[in-house]
Amino acid sequence: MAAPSGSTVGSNSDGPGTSYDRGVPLNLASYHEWEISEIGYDGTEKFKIPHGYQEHIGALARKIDWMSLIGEEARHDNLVIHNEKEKGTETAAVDAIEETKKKSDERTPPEAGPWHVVAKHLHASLQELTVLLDDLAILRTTDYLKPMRVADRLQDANMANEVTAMVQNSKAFQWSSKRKALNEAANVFETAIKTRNNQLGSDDASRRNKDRFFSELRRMRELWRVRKNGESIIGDLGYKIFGIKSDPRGVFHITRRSADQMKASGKGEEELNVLQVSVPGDLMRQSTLTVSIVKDDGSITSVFPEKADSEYAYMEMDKAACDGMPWEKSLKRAQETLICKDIFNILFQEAVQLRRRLAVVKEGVIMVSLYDDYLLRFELKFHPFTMDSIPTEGDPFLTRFLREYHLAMECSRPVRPQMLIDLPLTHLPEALDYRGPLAYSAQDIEARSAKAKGLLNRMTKVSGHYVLVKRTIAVLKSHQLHYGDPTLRWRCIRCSPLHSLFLCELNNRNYEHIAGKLSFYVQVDAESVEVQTKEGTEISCRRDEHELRQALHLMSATHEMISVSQIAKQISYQVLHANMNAMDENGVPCPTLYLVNNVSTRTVYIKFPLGEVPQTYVRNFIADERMATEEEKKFTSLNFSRMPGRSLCKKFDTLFSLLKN
Amino acid sequence: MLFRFGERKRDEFQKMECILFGSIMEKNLIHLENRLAGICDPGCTPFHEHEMSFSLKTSSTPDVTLRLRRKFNFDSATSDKWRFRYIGRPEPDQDCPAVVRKVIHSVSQSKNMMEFVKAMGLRMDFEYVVKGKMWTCGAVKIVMSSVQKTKQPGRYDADNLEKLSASYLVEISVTIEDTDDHLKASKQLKLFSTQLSPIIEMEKVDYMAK
Repeated sequence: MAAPSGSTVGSNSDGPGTSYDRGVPLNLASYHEWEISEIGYDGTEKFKIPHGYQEHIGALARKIDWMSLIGEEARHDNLVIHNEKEKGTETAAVDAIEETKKKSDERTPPEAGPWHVVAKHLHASLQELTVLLDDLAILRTTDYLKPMRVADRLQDANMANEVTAMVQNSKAFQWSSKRKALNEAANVFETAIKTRNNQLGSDDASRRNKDRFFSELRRMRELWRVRKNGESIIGDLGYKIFGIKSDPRGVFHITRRSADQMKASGKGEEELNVLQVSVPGDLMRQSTLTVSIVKDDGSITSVFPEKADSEYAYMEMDKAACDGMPWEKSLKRAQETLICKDIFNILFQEAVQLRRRLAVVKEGVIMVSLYDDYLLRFELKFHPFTMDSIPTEGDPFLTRFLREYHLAMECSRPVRPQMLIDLPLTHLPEALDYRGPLAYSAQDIEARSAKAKGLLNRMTKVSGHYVLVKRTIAVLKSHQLHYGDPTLRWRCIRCSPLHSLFLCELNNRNYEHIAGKLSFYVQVDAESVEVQTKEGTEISCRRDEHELRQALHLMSATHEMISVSQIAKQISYQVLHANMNAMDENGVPCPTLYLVNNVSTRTVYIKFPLGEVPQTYVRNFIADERMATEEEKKFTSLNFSRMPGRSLCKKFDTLFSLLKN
Repeated sequence: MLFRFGERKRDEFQKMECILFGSIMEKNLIHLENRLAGICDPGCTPFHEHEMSFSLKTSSTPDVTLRLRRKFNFDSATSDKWRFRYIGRPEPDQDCPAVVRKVIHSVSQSKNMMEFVKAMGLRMDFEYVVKGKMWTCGAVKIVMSSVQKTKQPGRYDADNLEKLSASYLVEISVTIEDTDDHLKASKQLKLFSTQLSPIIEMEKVDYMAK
């Protein structure tokens, strides 16, 4: 008899081959099933009908071993009590009942042995398995039956994830999700813009004001170091690039000029910057640091002139006017003041420590003795912080050199890493990296290490050299102007702040092929001028213009003598003596030349005094001085200016030609 | 003039070093480099060096450790240039914000340094190769290096070198005289290191305890 066991609902089919799901598939099965007693070969199942109440009681009763409970001679009703009553005690009866109960609890094992339960379970499992196999066989043959699992929660979740992944991978979903995200972002931006506009105010002017502020701030960042410190924006006027850069002295504050303030100023929007800077008070002035060379004439006023009251006008600061200045100009002026003050401080510190020179400092002026009566003057001047340009004073070259040298020192790295990076940073030059392996002594290290060049020392040397170069050029130009024969040509072949070298050439026009040219050098350094000939002779002119002129004259006279002797040789004259080291009666160098013609009839004696025309003397040749008379020994002096010829060489050429025979 | 050994004062060659340590992942290195380019002196110095740690083991006294260093991609001009370095124990100052220790450096030149070291009784403990860049800001030195260890000692081909980690080691140090106040220098160093946060946090590492 077939009995309903687990029935499957939820699947409805219109016929074989077609099926569709309706709703959620459910599997209902009863908890208790009738036990199958037998399964026929045709698949019919015979169930064991469960016992009813009476039958169940009967089955249990049959299991009880009555004989062991009541005994062989016991009666059926209240046998124990009856016996106990016969005995006459109630407690004995109760004990007997309990004993009986204990005995009834001790069941005897079934006849199948201890494995009967296991066997029973195995049989039941076999029956279940055969039912399952039959179900599967039926499912395979019938189309309208579909097996559904009793899915657990984890399997449901995986399936759900798979479905979700399939949906999410679809393009439509992606597009819609992106559109949604963009819409949300757009909403956020709109909210932000509305909030910002509310904060800015609905006034166009204030919005434009802020826009201009940020654009000017961006422009400022390209030129100046700007950073935000909390709620305030600060900038840095400092110019140092090595070491710690932020110097409290050079900090300026950046603020925004509001629209109301701009209206109150009375100026148009285009005339006034929205970005406003407030520089430190001590930098709120225009500054100039000038260098000049003055001659000490003994009076204090020439060295430290009295200052007029107008020169103190910078102390009356008009902050409003200062704030009204465009920030581009005010920052430049403030930084210029900072640089000038820094340079002046360095010069002041070095001036105090000078040993070989005298230095005097008074009210922003430093005077350092250069040499002779010349003084090197540094003056720091302040001017009002206005838009007006200030006049340039002092020597432009020295002023600019001071500035460039200071900034070059700031741009040079004070310390450097050594050959291996974990060695300490050092200020010694690279050549001393291996001073240990090369066993340099302390003196060697001291001699090879780069000496710290002070700014003031450097400036005094450069200034001294600069003055001497100017003097040398002036002397050379003057010589060129006043003495055309022989012609002097000069050019600078090496020029540095501390050393210069000029190449000078003397030549006679149209007679270069005979006389050649004479070259010599004029070397100028910080302390003196020196004339160097090609033979290696050095003529020190110290710092005296007159001595330099005399040296040039000496070179000219030497060249004249050489030229004349060459010309004479061309015409077969004999040079009896040529004395470059001769001197006149005053001890001034005066080269001399003594010639005789080829037929030995005439002698010519020429003196070349410095800076003057040559003195020419002629007489007849005397073979024996002892035999000649006084009249014969006399020289005839010739007037150089009346000698035929335009140039010196031409004159002597003509003279020698005339006296040839 | 002969160099008279023993007459030099200790403060001429012994220095104090204040140092802070930190590390940064390689992917974030560019941010640190940009920050350092803004606050340090212009330019950086790349380096590629090889360091070996030797120790002189004694039974009675604690081991003396010496470090030798040279350029890794050395040519004939630098192949015999070595640096000896002795690092003392950190000063036990809890209030000091940086590690302070005595250091002694010495540059030497030798073509057979290993034989010399062996003759001195030194034995190599470990070696590594560092590669990175160095910045300076005044007297402060910032070294950013990647450490590679050798799988087999003495072999330095690319196959035998492996990175110790994916991070870069950052050291900020300043060298002062032995007699100077190390607390002031350490505080300035710590103040400088705050400019690098939050990119990197420099700290005082008690490496002796670790």
